[in-house]
Amino acid sequence: MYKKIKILNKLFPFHFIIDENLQIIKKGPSLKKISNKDKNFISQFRFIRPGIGIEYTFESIKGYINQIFIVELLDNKSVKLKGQFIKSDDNQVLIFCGSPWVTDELQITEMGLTISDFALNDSVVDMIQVLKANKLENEDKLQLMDEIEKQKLFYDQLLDVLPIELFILDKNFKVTYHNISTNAIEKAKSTLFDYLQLKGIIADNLLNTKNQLSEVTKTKSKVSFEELYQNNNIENVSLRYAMPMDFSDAKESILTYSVDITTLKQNRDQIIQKNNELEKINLELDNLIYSITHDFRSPVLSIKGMLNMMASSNLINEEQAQYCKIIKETLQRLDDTIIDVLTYSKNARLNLTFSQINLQPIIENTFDSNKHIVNYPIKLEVNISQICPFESDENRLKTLLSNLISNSIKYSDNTQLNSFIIVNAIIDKQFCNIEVIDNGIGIMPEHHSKVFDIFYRATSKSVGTGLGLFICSEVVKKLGGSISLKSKPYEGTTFFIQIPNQFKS
Amino acid sequence: MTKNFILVDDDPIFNFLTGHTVENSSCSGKIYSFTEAIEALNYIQGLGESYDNKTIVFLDVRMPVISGLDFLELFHKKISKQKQEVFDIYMLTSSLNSEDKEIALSFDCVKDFLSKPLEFAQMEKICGE
Repeated sequence: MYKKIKILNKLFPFHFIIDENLQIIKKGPSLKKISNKDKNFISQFRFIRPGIGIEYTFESIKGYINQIFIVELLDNKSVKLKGQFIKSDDNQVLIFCGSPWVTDELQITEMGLTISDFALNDSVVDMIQVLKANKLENEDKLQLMDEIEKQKLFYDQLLDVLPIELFILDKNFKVTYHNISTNAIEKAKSTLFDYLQLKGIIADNLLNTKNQLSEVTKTKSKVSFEELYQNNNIENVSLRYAMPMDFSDAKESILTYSVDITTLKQNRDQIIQKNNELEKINLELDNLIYSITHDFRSPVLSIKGMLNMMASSNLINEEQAQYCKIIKETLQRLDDTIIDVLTYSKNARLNLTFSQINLQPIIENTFDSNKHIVNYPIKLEVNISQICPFESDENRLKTLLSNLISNSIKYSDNTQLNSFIIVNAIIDKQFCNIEVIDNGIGIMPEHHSKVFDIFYRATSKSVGTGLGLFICSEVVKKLGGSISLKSKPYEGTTFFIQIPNQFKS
Repeated sequence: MTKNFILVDDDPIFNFLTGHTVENSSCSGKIYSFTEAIEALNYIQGLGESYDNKTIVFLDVRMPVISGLDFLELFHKKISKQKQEVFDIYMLTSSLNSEDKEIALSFDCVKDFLSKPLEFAQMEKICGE
């Protein structure tokens, strides 16, 4: 008997044994721990299961011997035991074999028990492990859900802040997602078009939007187009993009978003309008310059003619002839200025026209038509080396060379006996590099940086218009090249020009 | 050889100047001045088909109502081919517009495009031709 009890204690530490009078004659060690010492079964336990039909008699219990019992400890209601009654061999006693009915790990500690109070074979032990694992898993899941919720909030807020209206549509253009904070979308019975109508889209534009979105579904391609809205006489323009949603599992869906471009469009329209106005003004200005130069030249030339006539007649004396000469020179300067202004405006408004250029005759002709400016001889030397044809804008190149060569003549040193001008040109596939070298009066260093400025004249003795080198630098700019100079007073000046060769082999 | 001269310029001073240069040249002939191109054209039309005296026309480019270029077009249209050959037209202008020059020189009757005022040397060259 002692041995049996020991086994019983080991296998069912929560067992108890009752006799025919329902007196508890034996309790397992773990049950002892959580119950009082009352020997009466009725005052200590209550049946939970079976609930109906059972009576608190030895015979009644015996009748339920093959069923699961759940009994509650009356003075410790957190403890419920689950198990079964078995009869002793002699039918004298009933033995309850079971253990606490546990659904939660916490219950065990509440009952004042530890794992060691349970039999090793008790499934409660496993259950507790499972419960523990479940609990951890649940905690992880909660944490994950929390994280997802946070991220969702982040993206929702992000999409809220973005100045775009974003929609995801199903294949019937019903809205399955949108980032708009108004409730217009719910009122609009949920297709995009209903919403756009509420927003005041113009009928034609709505039709276009429908067609464009159908196109996206059909061709699986991205489209973008403008939408015009009208609300209380205020017009708004949106730029809408729509594309098939080929990412995530949203097959057959359309992603579409629109940006309000009203201000951008207004600005652009204003710029276009201003530009048109400016172009018109520019044209008028060009015409004005052209008319003015013509109208200015006409009287200048007629005075010049009259002076020629007067000078060649025998009617005037030497002094008067001298006056005529001075008037003629002054007139010539006025005429030069008029011509320079015209040249400048031509360079600014006429398009570039490229053709093949032969430098040698241009240089020689320019020199020939200017050498009379001074009454002493000047030697011209031209050295051209080229490995391929040279193409550029001929008229502009002539203007450039004419200004530089006539400058070299105008500012030659009349105290020199061997005044010269050397023009060197090296032409390769990329550039034409030209040097115009003279041994004239030179330019003082302080003027070097300013000679290309408009109306800048280095000396009051200068006979120029103050436009020549300015025109040169403008022409070179237009041709995409560069111009610079090196000069020493009383020794001479060298201008360096580099012009891109437009020749394409 | 006698050559006749027709001067067309809206500015009478230029007609006076050019006339003076012609008078002092080695050419001899009659000089007709017009300040309106249409009058000059009417004059040429009135000369009759048999007119065959070599005639030099100095024609300004920029003129009000009918410009020098308009004159060239009308001359080309209204004057018979045979009669056209009697006239050598020289453009005399203060215009710096290279387009004007190109258009003018595209007419067969236009011999040259000269800058005002007409120089004595240029006049002598014309006389020699």
